[in-house]
Amino acid sequence: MNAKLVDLELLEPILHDELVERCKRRDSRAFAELYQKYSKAMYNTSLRIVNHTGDAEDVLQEAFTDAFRSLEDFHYKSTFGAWLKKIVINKSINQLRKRKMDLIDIEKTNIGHLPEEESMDEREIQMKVEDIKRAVTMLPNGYRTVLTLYLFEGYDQEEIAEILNVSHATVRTQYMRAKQKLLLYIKQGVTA
Amino acid sequence: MNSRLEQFVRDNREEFDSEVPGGKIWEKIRQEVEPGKKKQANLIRFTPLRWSAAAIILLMAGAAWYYLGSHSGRTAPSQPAIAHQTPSTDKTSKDQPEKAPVTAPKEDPATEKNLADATPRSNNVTPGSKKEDKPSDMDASVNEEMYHYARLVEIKHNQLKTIEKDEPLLYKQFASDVYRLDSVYHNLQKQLPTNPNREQLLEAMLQNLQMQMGLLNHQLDIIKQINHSKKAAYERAYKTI
Repeated sequence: MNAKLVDLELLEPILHDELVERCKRRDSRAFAELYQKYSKAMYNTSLRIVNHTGDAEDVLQEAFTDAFRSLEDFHYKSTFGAWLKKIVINKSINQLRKRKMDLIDIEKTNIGHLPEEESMDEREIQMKVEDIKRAVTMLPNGYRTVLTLYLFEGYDQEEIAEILNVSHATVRTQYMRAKQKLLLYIKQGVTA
Repeated sequence: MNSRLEQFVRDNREEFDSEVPGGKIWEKIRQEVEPGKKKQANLIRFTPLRWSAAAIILLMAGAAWYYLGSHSGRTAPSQPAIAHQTPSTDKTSKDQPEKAPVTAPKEDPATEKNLADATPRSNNVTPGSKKEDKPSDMDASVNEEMYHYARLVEIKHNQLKTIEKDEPLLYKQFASDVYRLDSVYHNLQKQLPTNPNREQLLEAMLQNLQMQMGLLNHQLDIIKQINHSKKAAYERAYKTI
């Protein structure tokens, strides 16, 4: 399945996406198909960041509306999915900021390395999708954003630094801390 | 950083996307982006803007007309042909709006020409009269000028009035805007007999009339634009049929 995904990602930029082309011609059935195809993934992406179903739905609606309206600006420099995801992520981050949540509580975490005792041995931990999902929702906003962008959305640290407008080193530290916390939550969840 | 967690997520990535958005979201998006509906939304968004602008103008026009109708005797006589003469008290021009074409406010070249003729004449009077001119002379020239503008205002307003039937709301708004300016004019006029600074007052009244005319011109422009876009919309509609 993974290989299939990778294939798609590689092929799509070369092939013009017929569905997208139909949308560009304002074909309303194509709009519906495009929504069907991407809405679930985009919703989950947003939900992991904003951590609130209502907000994630707002983001989803805005992102698709914006995307449909600005299709002329999409020139296959990436896949349509990647383009749309970027919109969703930006809107999600803005949504978090709107709620005046401190996205990056980095200043505190920027210095030094992680204390030894906090490090978790991943081998001790039983990985389960549901446990991980629940643990992600327990993370503070800043950690959660960095972690989901890296772990689930496949951005590299430099891209994340750019999206969040922070330094590469900050992203690195944030991710390490976020992951430690996540593992801790998973472990606690399992033992509890 | 490539560790078990990352590997696990990568291997089970799709299972993490298990949440489902509410079913109404698509309906909301569709309403906003679907071509047919979008057009409508655009139209609605587009008209109020223009309409309110148009309304401002129309309102002022209405007031001017009202004013001229009831007060032309004192300051703003309404016969263009005698614009350079003493203001008369009649209201014959009141009949004119009914004659005006209802379809679109068209300029009335004949009247405008008369007025154009009248302008230089009154202008000639003003520079010609020296500063030491007796107040009555000055009054006369100012009166003449005012007469000229009042008449222009009236004509413009009559043009505006032709849209009253088609766009009553717009007309109402336009008229109330003009009315505001006009009520200032009224106040000034009331002060005229008692105010010692007659010259200043007359100047202010004249300025007021000029403003009214500017406003009316604006309003007429807007109406022109509206008519133009309406026409375009009809044409488009016919084409699609």
